[in-house]
Amino acid sequence: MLGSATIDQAGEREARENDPAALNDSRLENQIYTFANTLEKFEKQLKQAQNGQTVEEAENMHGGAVWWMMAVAVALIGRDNARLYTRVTDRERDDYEVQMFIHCTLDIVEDKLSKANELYLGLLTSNHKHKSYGFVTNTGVKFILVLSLANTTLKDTDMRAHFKRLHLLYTNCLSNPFYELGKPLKSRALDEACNELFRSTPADMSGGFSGVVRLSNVNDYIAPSQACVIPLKPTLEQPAATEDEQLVSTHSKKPKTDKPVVKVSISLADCLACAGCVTSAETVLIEEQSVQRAIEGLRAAKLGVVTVSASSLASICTARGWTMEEGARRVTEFFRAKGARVVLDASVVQSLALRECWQEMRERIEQREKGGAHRPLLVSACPGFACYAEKSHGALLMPLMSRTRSSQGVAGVLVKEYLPRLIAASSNGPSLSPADIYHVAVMPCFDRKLEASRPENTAADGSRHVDCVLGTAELNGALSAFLEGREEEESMEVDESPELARVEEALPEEITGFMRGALLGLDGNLSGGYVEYGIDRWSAAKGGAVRVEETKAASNLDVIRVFSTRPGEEEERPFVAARVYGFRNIQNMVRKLKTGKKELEYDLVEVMACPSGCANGGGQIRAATTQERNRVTEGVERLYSNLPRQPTTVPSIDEFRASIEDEKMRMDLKDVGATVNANLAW
Amino acid sequence: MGSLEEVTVARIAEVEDCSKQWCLAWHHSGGILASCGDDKVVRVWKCTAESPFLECRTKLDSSHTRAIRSVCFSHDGKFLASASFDSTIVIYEKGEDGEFEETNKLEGHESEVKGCAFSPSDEFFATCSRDKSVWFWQLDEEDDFAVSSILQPHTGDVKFITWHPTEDLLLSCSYDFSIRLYKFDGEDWVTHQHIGDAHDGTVWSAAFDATGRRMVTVGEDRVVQLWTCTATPEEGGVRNGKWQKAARCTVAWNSVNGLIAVGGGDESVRVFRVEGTEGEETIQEIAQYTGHEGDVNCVSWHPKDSTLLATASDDGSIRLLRLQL
Repeated sequence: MLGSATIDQAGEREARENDPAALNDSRLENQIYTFANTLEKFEKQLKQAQNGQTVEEAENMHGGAVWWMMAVAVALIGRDNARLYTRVTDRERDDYEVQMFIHCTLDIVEDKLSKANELYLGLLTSNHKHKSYGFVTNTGVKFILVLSLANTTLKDTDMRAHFKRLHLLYTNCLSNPFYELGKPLKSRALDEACNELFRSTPADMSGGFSGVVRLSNVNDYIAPSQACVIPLKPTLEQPAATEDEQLVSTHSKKPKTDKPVVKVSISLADCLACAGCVTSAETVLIEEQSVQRAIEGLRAAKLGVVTVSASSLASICTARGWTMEEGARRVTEFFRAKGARVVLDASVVQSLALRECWQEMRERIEQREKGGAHRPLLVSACPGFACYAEKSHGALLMPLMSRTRSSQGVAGVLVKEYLPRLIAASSNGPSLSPADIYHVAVMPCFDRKLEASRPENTAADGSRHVDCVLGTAELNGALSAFLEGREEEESMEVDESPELARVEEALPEEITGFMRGALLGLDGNLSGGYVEYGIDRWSAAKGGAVRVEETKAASNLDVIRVFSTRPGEEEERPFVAARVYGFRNIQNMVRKLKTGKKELEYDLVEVMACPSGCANGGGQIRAATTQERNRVTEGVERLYSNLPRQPTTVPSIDEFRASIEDEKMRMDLKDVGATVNANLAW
Repeated sequence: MGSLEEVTVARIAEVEDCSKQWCLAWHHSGGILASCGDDKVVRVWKCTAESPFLECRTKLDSSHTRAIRSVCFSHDGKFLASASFDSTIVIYEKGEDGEFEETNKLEGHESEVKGCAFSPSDEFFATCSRDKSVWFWQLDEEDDFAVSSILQPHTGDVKFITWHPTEDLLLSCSYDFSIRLYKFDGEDWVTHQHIGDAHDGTVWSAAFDATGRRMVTVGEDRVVQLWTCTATPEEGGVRNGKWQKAARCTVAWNSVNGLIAVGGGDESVRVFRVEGTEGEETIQEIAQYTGHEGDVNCVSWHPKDSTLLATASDDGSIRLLRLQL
C-alpha cells in the first residue's frame, strides 16, 4: 500500500424541490404510433438485410460520429409514472422501439429503487440495441437516459455528471412560477441540454490527444489507478524478501505499522500530469480552452494576442486549398474580427527556442569532450512526450530532457512577460499587466492545452502565459462559421489607442509578418527542426567541412551522423542527431536507456509522440482513411517546406533576443525543468 | 461418453489465502510444465511418467511484485515469459544447466498485463493488458526485445491473446465483447479483422485447432463459440454448445485428437468434441471433471500425450487429468 489519501468530497447537495402534497391528475401519455411508422421501419430493416451489411460495414458507413451517438433518448418520469418530459434523437424519433424500451425500463427502476443507496441508479437494462441508465430524485422523479448499446465510451462518472446536470435543469424548471406540478415540462434549457447529449461525443475531440496521453484514458472501467502520482510517503513497498527455496511457500504477515494518516490534497494540475485515475480532466480542459472561451477572452482583454503555429496553418490551407499567404491573411482577419490585435508566427518564435536548445547541446558536447559522461539531449518540445517522460520514467529521462521551452512556451513568455515591458518602455505607453493581455495559441496538438496549464507557464501575476490553446480543427470549425457569415456579426470595437497600435511596430517585423501573409519557414519539418538546426550549427563549428550520413533506421526513426572532414579530425566521433517519432520508437529508446545493454549513441534527439510529428498532430484536421491521412500529411509538410526560409541571422530577431538578455529574461526561456525537478523531489 | 480421471494433484499451498493458480504452459517437449499465480511465483514442474508425476523443480519468485497472470514458453523452448499485474513481463532464458534465469524485463504497459504469447516462429512476442493495448515485440539477433507495434484497438481490458498455430496472426479477446485478429503488414501490426459482438459479455479465452482453420472462444455468456475460417480467416461460426454457470473459463484445443477442453467458474472441466461436417459443426460434451474446489483458470493439453490435460485452479492446485474415452 502506498498510504491512504483523503480526498475531500464536496457533500452532494441535493437541490431542493417542493414535494407537492397532491399531484395533479396524472395522465399516462398515450403515444399513438401509426401503423405506417412501423411499416416504414420494417422496410428499412428489410433493405438493410438485403444489402447484406455486416455490423462492421454499417459502422464504417455511419462513420465514427454518428455511430457513437452519445445518447438516444432522455425521459423524465414523475413519481406516479406520468411522463413529464421525453426527448428522442431525430434519428430515432419515429421509432416505436425506443419508447417501448423506456417503458420497459420503468419496471427495473422500481426494482432498483428498493436497493438504491444513492440517487444514481446505474445501468438499468439493455436490449439488442439500447441500454438505459437511471437516476431518481428524493421526490421520486425518475430520469432515464437511453444510449446506443455500442456506446462504451461513457462511464459511470460521466453518467453521474450528466444526470446531475439534468437534475439541476429540472429543478430550474420547477422554479418557474407558471409550471404546474406534474404537468409535462416545456423548457428550452432542457431541450438544449438534451440536444447536446445527442450530439456526437467529445470523444472525437479527446481522440486528438496523443497516444501517450490517451493510453491511460480516463475511460477505464475500474475507477482508481494502482498508484496515484501524488506522493504518499513513505514511498514504495519494499520488494518482498526472497523466501527460502521450498516447495510449499509460506506467507508471513507483515507487521502492522501505525502511521498517522496524512491528508493529501490532489489538485487538477496533478491529475492532468497523471490521468492515471478516473478524472474527466480532459473534458475539463476542452471546456476550459474552447473557441468560445478564446473569443470571450479576446473580447474582454485590453490586448488580445494570437500565436499561430505553421503546422496548424498548413493543415487549414491544405484542407481548404489555400496558399499559406492567403491562409495567414484569412486567419488574421478572423482573429481581428474577434478582438485580437496581434497575430504572431510561431515558427519565427521557434528560432529562439532552437538557439536556446543548441546552447544546451553545446554545453553537453563540451562536457563530453572534457571526459564527462555522454548524455543525449532529448528535445522536450512535444508535450505528449514530456508528459510521458515525467510520468513514467522521471528519474531516467528528466535529467536528459532539454530545459528549453517549446515554441508555445517561448511565445507565452514573449507575450506575457516581454510585451508589457516593451509597452511600458515606449513613451506614454499604458501600463499593462500580464493579466490584461489575453493570449491564444493555435496548435496542432491538444496536449498543448495541458502544457499551457502547467504551473511553470504562468506569469508573475498568476495569469497563464497562454490563456487558451485551440486545436487546428477547432479553429477550422470556427473559421467555417465565420466565412459563411453564419454568425451574427457583433461589430467589435477595437481599441484604437495609438499606444497599443505601436505594439505591432515595436515587435520585430518577422514575428508580425503573419498578419501581412509574409511567412517564414525553418529548415526541417513541422516538428520544430531541432535536428536540422543542430546539424547546421555543428557544420558551422567545423567550418562546413562535414560529411552527412542519414539512415532511416525504422519507420519514423531517422538517424543522422555528421562526420567532420577537416584534416586531423576524420577519426573524431560524429555528431549524431535522431528523429524519434511515435510511441513505438520512444519505447525502444527508453528500453535502450534503461537496460543500458546498448549505448544510445545519439547526441540530439528530436522526440515526438505522434508517428509523423506535428504535421499530423492530434489537433489537426483529420482525414478519414489512413492513406488519405498520409497524403494530407505530405501536403501539409510540402506547404511548409515551400515557404521562404528564415535567414540564419535576422537582425531584428537578434536584436530582440539581445533585448531579452538585457532584461535578464533568458532564464525564462528555459524554465521547463524547474517544476519538473520539484516534481521529482516528490 | 468418456471420463476425466485424476492423475495427480499438486497443491501449491494448503493454508495460504492467496495461492490461486492462474495459468500454466507446457514446454513443447511435454517434460516441463510452468505455472503461475497469485503468490508471485513462477514454478517449473518436471513431468514424469510415474509417481509423483509432477515435481516442482524451480521456483522463480523474485521477479514480480504482484500476481502473475500468465506464463508461456517460446516454441524453441529457449525462453519462458511471465506476465504480471505489476505491469511488467519478465523473460527467463534457459541456461546451460537447464535452469531458467531472468534475462530481460519488458516494461511499458500502463496497467496489469493479462497475457503473453510467442508467435509460431518465435520472431514475435505479443502482450496484452488492462490498459486496453496489445504490444508486439520483436526479437532481434541479440535476443533483445524491441517494440514492433503498440495497438490500442479495444475499448476495454484485453483479456487474452493467442497466436495462430502456423501463421503470424494474433487473436485478442476483450472485455468489450469483441475479438480481433492482427497481421503484420511489413512495417506495423494492423487489425486484420474485427468481430464486434463475439459474445454477449467479456470474451475470456480462445484457442485454434491444429490446422488453424477453426477456433473456439468462450465468454462470460457461458457460450463456447466455434469459428471456422475460409482461406482467409473470416467469421462463419456456428453458435452452439451452451453450458451452464461458468462466468470465467478457459479453453484449450487438443492438437492431436481434435478435442476441446473447457474449464470455468463452475469448478468443472469439460471436454467437447466437434462433430458434423464442415459448415454443419456441432459441439458435443463427452467428458466432465468436477473435482476442483474453485474456479478453473487454465486448462492445457499435453503437447504429446493427447489424453493428458493439465489444469490450474483458484483452489491453489495444479492437476493432471487423464481422459478415458
